[in-house]
Amino acid sequence: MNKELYYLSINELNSMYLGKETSPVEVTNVFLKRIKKFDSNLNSYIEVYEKDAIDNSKLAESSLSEASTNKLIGIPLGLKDLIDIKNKITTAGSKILENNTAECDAKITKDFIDSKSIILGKTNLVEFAFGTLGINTTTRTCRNPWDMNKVPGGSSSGSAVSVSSGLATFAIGTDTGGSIRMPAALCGITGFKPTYGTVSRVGVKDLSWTMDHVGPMARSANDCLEVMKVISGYDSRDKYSLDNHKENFIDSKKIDRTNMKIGIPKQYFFDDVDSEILKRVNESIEIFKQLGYQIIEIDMPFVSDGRNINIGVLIPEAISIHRKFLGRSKEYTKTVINRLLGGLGVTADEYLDASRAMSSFNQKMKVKMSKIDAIITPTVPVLTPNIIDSYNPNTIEANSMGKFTGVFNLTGQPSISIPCGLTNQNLPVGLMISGKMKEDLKILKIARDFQNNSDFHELRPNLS
Amino acid sequence: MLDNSKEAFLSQLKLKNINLSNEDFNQSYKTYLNFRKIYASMKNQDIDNFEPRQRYFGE
Repeated sequence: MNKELYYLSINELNSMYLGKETSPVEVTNVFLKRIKKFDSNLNSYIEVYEKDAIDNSKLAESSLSEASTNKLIGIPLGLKDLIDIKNKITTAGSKILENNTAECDAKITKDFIDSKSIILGKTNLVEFAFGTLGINTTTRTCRNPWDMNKVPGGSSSGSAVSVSSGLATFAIGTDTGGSIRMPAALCGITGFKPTYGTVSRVGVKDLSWTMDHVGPMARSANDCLEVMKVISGYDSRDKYSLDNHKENFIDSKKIDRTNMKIGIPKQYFFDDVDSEILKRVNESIEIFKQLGYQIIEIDMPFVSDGRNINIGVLIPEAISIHRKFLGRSKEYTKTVINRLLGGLGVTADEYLDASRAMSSFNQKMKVKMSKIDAIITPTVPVLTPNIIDSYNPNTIEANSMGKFTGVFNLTGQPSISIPCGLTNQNLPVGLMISGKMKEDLKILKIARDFQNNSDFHELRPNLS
Repeated sequence: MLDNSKEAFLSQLKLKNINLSNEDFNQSYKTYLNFRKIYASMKNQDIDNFEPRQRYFGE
């Protein structure tokens, strides 16, 4: 075996199960052992379900005849602790919900139970998923496995750290302004935010009903695609669930590079970006060019309004969701209560202005996207800061980390962050590819094509 | 529209019965000012022909 079991892809593990070269019980034990060894420093899990994981691995092992059609059988994963598992506590990373036992499985949890995947535990996060850097003084902040003094990015910090460190094959995150893609970029993994409404939000604690998305975090775009095949689909209980979208993940045709137009925005996304990040992203754009993709500069002056509109809609929705808890302000972590209280007093007029500006912005983006297949940008504009410098809620990094990602929460477009190299300090850099609404498969295939022709996604942190 | 003064922010906190230390007040007030700027910038948008929260899924 060339690679350790804990760094194998979904397809590699599936092939080994089919060839009886390993078993779900063996693999689960490898992960549990590794979590015990490394997670007391990394803090990527809030709770590990050791007994359940072993029991479920035995169940998967007894059903391995399904493995040729069910790729996720026996695959170990982590669920962000915003997602309900029946009879388990969903804390959302907060003292306020420390006794919150879920009465039902989230729709996505049920998808994994039905697939006989192995849920190893609940992953750490920024309290209530409301932060960009990954700081959480209640659950203990996750550490970036590439440099334990650096933040992992947020809010799906534990999901990113567990996947990057080989403590899960994949994990699930949520993304309201970039919370899948930012930690994916900072931890050197692949994080996919699907088109709005593609994955059900039922049983997932919400931060903003307009902006929330659920999606996979893995070590490759191909693994994200395998997960999307299982978790996508219409759910009548989610008001904004998209109908007839599951078939879009059927992976039949090869990508036709010469007919694929990739837009590079002239404005905003390449302004005020750290020079090292810019260098890696531009080198990756060259790779796309060499592969035969059409690279086109596009004019989109309106995009600079995107993040502000994203925040303008998100904040009053978050305050409304938290209104019953705000009286317990001292139980929140400082960075989160600061952000919530800072948004007090938004008027109905202001919320409506932001919501109408969202519509105007989305129409402009639709017109722009009609001429291209995808947009390539950096995922984040700034270098990864130290944990110790990140407790203040208003640092430059905290306020600018979601500057690019939030644009695609506003529009609802599919958007993926993939690794595209390392900085001089040996920290990962993320490249973001965003596509047209409901063209999730195309974006995953473009990202997979890049990864088939580069090895940035194969780089691993040194944990020893 | 709300004003940007410390007093305006304090009155919002009082409405929710929230007391903050000086340091927490100053940080939250800084965030409040950032959000006020965001909403002020929306006033200049041309949104007369748009209903709220639209996304465009089709071709």
